[in-house]
Amino acid sequence: MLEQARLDAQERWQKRQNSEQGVIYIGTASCGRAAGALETLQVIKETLAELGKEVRIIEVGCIGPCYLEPLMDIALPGMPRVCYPNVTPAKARQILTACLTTGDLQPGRAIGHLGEDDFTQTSGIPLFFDLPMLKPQVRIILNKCGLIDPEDFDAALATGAYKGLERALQLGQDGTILELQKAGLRGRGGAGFPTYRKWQLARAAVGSPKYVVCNADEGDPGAFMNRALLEGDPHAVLEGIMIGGYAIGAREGIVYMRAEYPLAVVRLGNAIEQAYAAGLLGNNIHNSGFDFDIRIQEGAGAFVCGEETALIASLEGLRGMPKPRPPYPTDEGYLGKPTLINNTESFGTVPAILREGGEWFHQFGTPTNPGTKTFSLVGKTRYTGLIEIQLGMTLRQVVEEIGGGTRLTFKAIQTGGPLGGCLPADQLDTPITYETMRELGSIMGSGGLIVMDESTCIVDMARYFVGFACSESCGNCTPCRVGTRILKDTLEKIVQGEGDSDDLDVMRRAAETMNNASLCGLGQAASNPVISSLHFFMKEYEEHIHQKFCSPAVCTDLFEYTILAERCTGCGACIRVCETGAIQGERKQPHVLDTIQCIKCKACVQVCPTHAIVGMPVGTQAGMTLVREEMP
Amino acid sequence: MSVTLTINGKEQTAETGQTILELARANNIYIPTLCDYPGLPPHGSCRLCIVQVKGRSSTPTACTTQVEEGMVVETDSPLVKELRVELLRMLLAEHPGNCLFCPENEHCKECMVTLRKTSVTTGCRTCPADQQCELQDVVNSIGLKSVAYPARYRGLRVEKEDPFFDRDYNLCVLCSRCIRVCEALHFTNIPTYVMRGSETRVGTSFDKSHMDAGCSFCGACVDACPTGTLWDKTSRWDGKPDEEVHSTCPFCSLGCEVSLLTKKNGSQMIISSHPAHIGEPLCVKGRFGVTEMVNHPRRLKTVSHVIAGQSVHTSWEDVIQRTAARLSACEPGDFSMLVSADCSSEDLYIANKFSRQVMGSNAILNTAARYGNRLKTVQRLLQSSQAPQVLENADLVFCLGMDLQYFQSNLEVYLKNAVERGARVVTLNSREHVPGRFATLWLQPQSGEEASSLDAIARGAGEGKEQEVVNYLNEAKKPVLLVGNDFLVRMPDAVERLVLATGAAIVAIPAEANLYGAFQLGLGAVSQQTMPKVLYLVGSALPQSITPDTFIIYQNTHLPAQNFLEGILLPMAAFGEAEGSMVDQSGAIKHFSAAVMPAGDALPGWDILCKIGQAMGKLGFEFAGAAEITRVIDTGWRDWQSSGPVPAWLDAPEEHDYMGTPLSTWVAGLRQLKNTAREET
Repeated sequence: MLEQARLDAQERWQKRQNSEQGVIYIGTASCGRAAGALETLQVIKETLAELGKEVRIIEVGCIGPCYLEPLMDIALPGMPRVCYPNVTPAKARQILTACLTTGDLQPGRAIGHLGEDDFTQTSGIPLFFDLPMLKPQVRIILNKCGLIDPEDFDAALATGAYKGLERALQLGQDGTILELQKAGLRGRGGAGFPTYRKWQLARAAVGSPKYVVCNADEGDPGAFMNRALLEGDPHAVLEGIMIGGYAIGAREGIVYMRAEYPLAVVRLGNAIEQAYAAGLLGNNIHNSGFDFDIRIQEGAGAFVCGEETALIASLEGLRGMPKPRPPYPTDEGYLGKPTLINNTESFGTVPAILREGGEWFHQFGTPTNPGTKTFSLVGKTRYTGLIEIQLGMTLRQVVEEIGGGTRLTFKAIQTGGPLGGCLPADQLDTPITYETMRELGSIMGSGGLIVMDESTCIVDMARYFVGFACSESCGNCTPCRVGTRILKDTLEKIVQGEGDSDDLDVMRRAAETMNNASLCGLGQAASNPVISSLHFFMKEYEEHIHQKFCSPAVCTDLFEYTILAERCTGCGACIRVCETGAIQGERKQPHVLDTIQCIKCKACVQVCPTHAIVGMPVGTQAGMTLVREEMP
Repeated sequence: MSVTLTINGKEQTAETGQTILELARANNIYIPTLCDYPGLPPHGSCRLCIVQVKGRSSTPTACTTQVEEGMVVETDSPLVKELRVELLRMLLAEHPGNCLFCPENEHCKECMVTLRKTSVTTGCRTCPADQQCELQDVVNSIGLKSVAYPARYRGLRVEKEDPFFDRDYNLCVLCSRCIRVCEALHFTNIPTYVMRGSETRVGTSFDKSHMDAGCSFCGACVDACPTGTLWDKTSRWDGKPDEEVHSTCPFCSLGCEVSLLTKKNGSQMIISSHPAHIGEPLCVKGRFGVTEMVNHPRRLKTVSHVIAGQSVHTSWEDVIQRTAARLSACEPGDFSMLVSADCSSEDLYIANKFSRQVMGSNAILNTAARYGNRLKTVQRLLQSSQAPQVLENADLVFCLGMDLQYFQSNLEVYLKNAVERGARVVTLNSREHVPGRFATLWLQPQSGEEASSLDAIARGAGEGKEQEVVNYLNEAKKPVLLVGNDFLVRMPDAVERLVLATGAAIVAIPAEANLYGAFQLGLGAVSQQTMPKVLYLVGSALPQSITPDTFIIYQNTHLPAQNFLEGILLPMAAFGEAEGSMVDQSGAIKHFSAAVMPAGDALPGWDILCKIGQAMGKLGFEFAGAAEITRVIDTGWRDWQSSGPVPAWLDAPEEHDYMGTPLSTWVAGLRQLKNTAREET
């Protein structure tokens, strides 16, 4: 039904990409903007004006590697897109001037190109997708993110958007669900419930009208999979929602989106308008007899509204609080009607499955955990960013190959966001699947991966995540409301050096009770960081409680800095940055740190080239021997 | 359909749809709960009722889990027991536990030691709910002896600025019963969740006072609270009641059933009044008006006679003789008796009998002046009036002047339910009123134009919205008119014309509790227009226009608002102090119980009159108890007679009065409400 429209779109899109003077692509998703992409964009415009070049600028979404942002691609006529990382305004001016005036691609500055292999030989620039971070990845969901202009409907259509919907309409409702069953897709919100099963239940549910709700309330700290997808390829999500709506017999879809994602709201809203204009939403879509509308509803900043029953309450204008299940939303959801709720990524995966077929999707990943899944890899790895991998890949591959390892010794990886578990180095060979994560006391979650090295204090980390759950609990059920508070208070006590051995028992009991007796997933999982860290990192807790020492030098009450004379070269770098004058010493002589004046701001630690400044247990070292005259 | 399942190793049969908790209760298996409350859907927030179900990895709550065929349930397994203890410890970590874990706790129960250096032996009273607390019950049943979690006192200010009840959210366990009960009865959340996470508590939106938030003070939330968080101001430190007595609210003609909680040890008193049944709430008058009215310091407790403005205490024998002597010397034309329709049927019967047979004139209804020459119409309307339950099947409810903000707020649930099931609710009211917020249609004529609007609808020839109402009435199969006191008083004729034109059922709710009974017993107005020389007031206020030489026989529950020169003060038993009956607005007979002894020297109204009648040598006043009079009334003493012009000297008392005096005179909270209430004209 879209053949002609797609051909037309392809023509227009090709024309747009083949400017006579070249095209500049710049990633201006939220992540790029945070790294300064808009400032760079401004300079690009100014430089082009100065050079008098009529070069088209296309703003694209996020391609993944955060550590390369802002990322600028230049495609000179007849040449592929060449990517330049960390393009500051000054760098942008230099690169542009060189490229556009002399045709010098500046291979030294480029990180990769998006063309064919032979260009690699001629230019000396490697393939972008051969970068160590990108090579192990399989891009199905993110295959267009960062490559196309998310606000350009032609680009979406030309690259295959809505082919999945066309196929679904041919297959019929049951056929569509069967295709999902073949694919074996499981809920990407983290619980891993078979998606086809949920769709079957919603389709079989009695009640009318039915609703489709897309859960885009991504609230995990350090997770940005859904945001990147919505900002980079909004039509994929829309198409998935429409296929879901068609399959279960709904006629309205609602995207419940975090209000803190303003750009995603704009881009998805724009995509919805484009879909209406193209006759892909509304009544009798392309004479298929299928009516469908989609609207966006913004949340009000509550983490718990990612829980499906709380989300529905919030949609209805009520306080976002989970309800006991059953009844499940597929039976009684939004306004008491059967409602299909899936995560943004689940919907974003559906079009590819319909387009390419369930068997095709099933070949990726493992037989029980088929397909690919996006993760946000953050923390202390060399390379950070949004990644898409086949399920079943080990944590080690993710950390060491994709993430490039850590600079200091690897300590732990927190999977599944703030409700997940904290896994140590000896668990790194675990393949990432729903089941293995659960067995280790963690969860898959929506896909946050936080990597920690030896400079991270596990107790402090547990305190942070529990504190998050404590303030984000809806406050309805006892174990979650009180349990998170007990855990937070106890951990705060421990990091302040006031812990005793009873505290471990208190935490264990509270955590187990929350785990067993809470009403919703938030309360049940909120104690995971504590349970898993107590299991895997007991030594660190004991160190905090019994020795009153935080060896990673994070909990400020539990260590003092000292300068190791054998490592200190007497370079004076620390003296220059110390705001309180706590460090003294002659040049080329080992320096001395006064623990009384030290405020533990870490400025010296960060500048010391020899890692000579280390944390020691309080009162165990001779820092106080530095006698100053003005002190009585 | 029934299913078979196993609970604690025993096979049980249950109905599908039943929850595990319901089944367990039916079989006397104790499962502790806090958030569960009769009439509210399961909520599952306290988590105390967790059970183990074979084959499920989690521990579901019994209140939210429905029975299934072949289910194997353990309500008391070691895991469940352990989790319950931990859950309870968590609750108690945020709930002051001095009533539970005081080192003196055990001795306290025995000897009631006190910290005060006096010889009195009382227990410490740190919480109004002590010994009446569901949390205490759960702790005792589980046998918990310590908290074992770091405790936190919330340190919240006790909210006392609203009338009637205080709120100490430091004691709250967040069971949300108050929130949900308000939603169920008023379809709103005056109390609601505020803040989130571990700071979550119950409060009002934007921290307004309950008054500003639009609370109707029905007290359902106070009744639902399992702890001492919400408690009546008046009974806060009264402790556990000794007895509960069911009676009928005397403050309007709805005749709601109340339960009176009383103290019998030491000084006898009614400490609070509550709905007799959960889910059938009272309004603010019945819930919070009784205690203060009955226990008010201005209760008339002593028998006295008044000479030249000075009252002299005396005995019943003496005062009966004096009264009998004065009345024997009185000419029939010089006597009038004013009777309140708040009195029981027994009082009314004896009063009217006394007035007619002893003094030779009909007793006058003290509120007759409200109705004037419309009294006859009101009688007819009342005769066809039905109970509010008829609203449950109505497809159109036409409300005439029901404000429902405070008084009779318990009717709101009928209207809201009607809207929910798709029936139309039309209101006619010149002012802002509660049903106007959710009514299908709100006719808002200018004040004073209501009757012409009603007539236009009755003729079937209205304009605009009136025509819509006409159409609704034509379409309706079961229309019901809900007529408030305001319309009964001001335009009963227009209401009657509408009833005749539409054939709608009518629910008329006069303000006087026993107006129906008074009419049945033949009370009304008389033709006597001049101020009588002897005025006998039974539960009535002094008319404004009394002359100094009028001899006043003041028989009432409270002291008169103003003094008079010559007369007698006769203390009468108030509500809750005397047996009797009343006839509600639908003609149903309701019972008044004597929960406590009358205050001071007070006697039941009928008893005083009988004594005087006997002292005057009249026969027919030999009754030993109210029940004997009830029997006489029941054997067909109905005449519905009595009508004539209202005497000019008679005042029209205001609507919310009891025995001739505004209830707000006795009830402090009602005075606070009065300033904000939208008074009905």
